Amino acid sequence: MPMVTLRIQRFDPENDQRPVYREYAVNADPTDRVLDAINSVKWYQDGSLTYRRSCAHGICGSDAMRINGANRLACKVLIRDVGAKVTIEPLMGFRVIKDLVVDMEPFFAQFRSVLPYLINDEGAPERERTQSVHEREVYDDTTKCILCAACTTSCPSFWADENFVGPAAIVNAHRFIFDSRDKAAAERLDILNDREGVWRCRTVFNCTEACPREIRITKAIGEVKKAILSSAR
Amino acid sequence: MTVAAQVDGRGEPRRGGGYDRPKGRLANFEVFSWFFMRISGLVLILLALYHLIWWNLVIGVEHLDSQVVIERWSNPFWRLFNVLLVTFALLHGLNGARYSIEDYIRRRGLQIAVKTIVYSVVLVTLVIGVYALLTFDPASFFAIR
Repeated sequence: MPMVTLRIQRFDPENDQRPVYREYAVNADPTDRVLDAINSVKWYQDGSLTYRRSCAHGICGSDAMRINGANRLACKVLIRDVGAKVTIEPLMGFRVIKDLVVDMEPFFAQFRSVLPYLINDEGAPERERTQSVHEREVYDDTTKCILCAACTTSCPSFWADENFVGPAAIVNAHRFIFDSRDKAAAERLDILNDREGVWRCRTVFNCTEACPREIRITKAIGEVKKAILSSAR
Repeated sequence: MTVAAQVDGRGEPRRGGGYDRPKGRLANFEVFSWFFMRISGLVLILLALYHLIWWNLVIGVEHLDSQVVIERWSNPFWRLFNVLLVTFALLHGLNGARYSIEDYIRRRGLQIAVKTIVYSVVLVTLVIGVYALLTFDPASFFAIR
């Protein structure tokens, strides 16, 4: 097995004043994932290395981190795609709790602020609320979000302004705004029609590039902007 | 743990997290300024392309003398064209500068100061430009010289 060097940003809040980088040499196949290499460090070299990972199959969104400067899921990136020397850092823009674990609460607060759940106060129908294939296609892309925060923490507008609602929250608002069964689109558009809402977006496309689910985020944000424009007339 | 930091420019906390829009803000200002950027950007491309291609390539920069300027000036459509060009260019640029100022200057007092300076410079330039385009009389100007 070839050797791979992991350069990992470490921070122990009880002992460190500021983050430090430590290097670890591990055996890894080109077809191993970066997560396998990090696991190898934790299991066989330094048990104090702290990071989040749950399903390890690209669905739970726990192990988003900066890998060679780009936001990626450690469980979806192969060693052969990042080379023999890999720099691993926590997501940018959040408080680091320890090593690669960041405080995600501000992210979830922004997510909650766009009412990311079905709102329909009409009485329950006789049968299920049906939806045509076309009606479903309108928001199909934005149903894929796993809330890993790779998009929001790659966004320069978010780096400059922690109050910016962020691409992930807009994606999840989009998922309900364009759902034919939902009745609170106007309320969500009003929330996002704000300097800290969609208008802080400068269409940089970092979010679209970072998304491990390949959601066309900038396009979704553009659709929300257009919806606000047509409801404002 | 819920984050409840009260920040300048935010309204009351909203149920489920986040904040309301602060009271008293111009309704829909941001959406219309965004729309204005799209429209003015498109108009500017057409105006600037015409200006560049017609006057500098077709007529040719070597043929631009006072006689050509006087002829151009006597045409009201050419003046209107330039009023549009200067207005859209300055306002499009001003709004872009506003975006950048709001993105990068976080201190409220400093932000107001910088905005005041930038808005004033652009406004004065716009007034002088439009005034000159509408009142300047090239025939008498060149006759005096």
